[in-house]
Amino acid sequence: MLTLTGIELFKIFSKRRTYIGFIAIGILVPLIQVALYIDGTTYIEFSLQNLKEAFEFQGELLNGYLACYIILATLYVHIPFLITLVTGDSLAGEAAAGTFRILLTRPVSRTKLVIAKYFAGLLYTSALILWMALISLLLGIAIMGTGDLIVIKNTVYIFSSDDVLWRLLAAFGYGLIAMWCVASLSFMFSSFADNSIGPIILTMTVIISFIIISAIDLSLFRYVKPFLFTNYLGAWKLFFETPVDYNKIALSAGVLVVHSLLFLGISVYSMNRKDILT
Amino acid sequence: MRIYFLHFRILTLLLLIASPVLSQKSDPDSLLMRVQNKFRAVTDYEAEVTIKVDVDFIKIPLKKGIIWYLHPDKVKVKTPGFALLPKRGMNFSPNQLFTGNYATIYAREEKVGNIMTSVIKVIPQDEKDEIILSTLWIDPVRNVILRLESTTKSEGTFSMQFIYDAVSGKFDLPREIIFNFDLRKSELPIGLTGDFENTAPKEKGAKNTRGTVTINYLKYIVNEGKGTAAFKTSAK
Repeated sequence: MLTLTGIELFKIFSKRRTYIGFIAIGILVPLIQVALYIDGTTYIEFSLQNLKEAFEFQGELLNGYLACYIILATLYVHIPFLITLVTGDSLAGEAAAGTFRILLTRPVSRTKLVIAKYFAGLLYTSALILWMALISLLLGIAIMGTGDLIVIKNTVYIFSSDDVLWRLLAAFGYGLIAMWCVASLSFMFSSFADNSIGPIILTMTVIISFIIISAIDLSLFRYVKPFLFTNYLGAWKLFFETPVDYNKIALSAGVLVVHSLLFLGISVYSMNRKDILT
Repeated sequence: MRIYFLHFRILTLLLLIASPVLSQKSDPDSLLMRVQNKFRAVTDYEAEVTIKVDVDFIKIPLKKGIIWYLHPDKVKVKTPGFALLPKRGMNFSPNQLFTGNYATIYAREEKVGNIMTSVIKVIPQDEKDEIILSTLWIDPVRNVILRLESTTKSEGTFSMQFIYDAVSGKFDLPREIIFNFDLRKSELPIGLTGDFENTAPKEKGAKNTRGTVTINYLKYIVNEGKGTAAFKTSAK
């Protein structure tokens, strides 16, 4: 299985499209950080003007941790697209290239092959998230240094600088589980299709539609919301509350893991029953 | 008859002795002057502070820092990291009571804790003054303010409670000040972190709430030029 996964990883990283995600993050994240460095203070002051009516601010809020949080909060809806570019192509790409039949002549079961491709997809996702974590955290700290982190929800949370790093790392960890779920979804769609465009578009359509349904506060949608996996993608933000609701985080992560396994199961089932014609 | 005359003389004598004390207690200007004179002895100080913010929609850990004061009303606070300080009252000093025109009224005597205080109302006469009315609870024995309550034109009311060491000292600087003020629970901005998926129902008609900031003062260093040095450094 390890050899198979290694081969699949080699195939993934042999394709140019694999590097689109890394390049996009490599350009976008520094761009946001430089923009924040130049104009961040005004941006923060504008956001906190209500609070300034009652309080004097002492110290700086613009720092690498805040930049990292902003990047994480802004990009986690867009990262799925960069993931599906690869995972959506994983099975459908073989079909589109006409290499499936040759591939299956190897003495490996379809289930093993699908699982190896799945793991390779998860490893690619992990590499992308790790890259994002490294660049947003290290570059942010290098440019703006560290400091206290302010998080505005219905409550304003201010965390001491020594209490932030573990939260950010935990958030990236949770984000990884969330993105594995997205990868699993696109992988499942990939198992149904014969070209990679379909799974990529379908995955993004599902994610965007679910997020929109979750965001509209209508009674009908309120009943549906708990059953949408996208509702649990943003639970990393719970690490930025006091006290941290670990039960809710565990439940959300559990829902995502179950979804991922379900998507994998459907993919295996679909591929085992699929009539490979290319 | 002689006994009655003797009683009358003793009573008159007692009244004569007590009258300056009574008049001092009920003379608001004299009381304020004594408070100011006591505080005037402090030209600068440095102290370690801990700042605790207690507002229902703000969660911030206890902050430690250093405060510097320079006569007459310069205050500077430095904390590692970020801290929220009350906007009103932070740079309060009794000297401010004597700037501009004001009228004073002796209101009553009232107990604050175990201390019997003289309550004085201070009304600024300048119409442009942001403060409409201030009420002061003054300890007439130690000549220090124990409580202050001010009503402002646009920012509601704020109050300050001063807690001192039990034993009276040379300067009688507070070891704790509790600031209490009005807060408009306005809708907080969501733009900072792109938190657009947060769909928690927003409270209709944001209501005012009260905020409390407690500042504890430790290790005062008074009149040793620390405050002057701190403000010189910041001026550079």
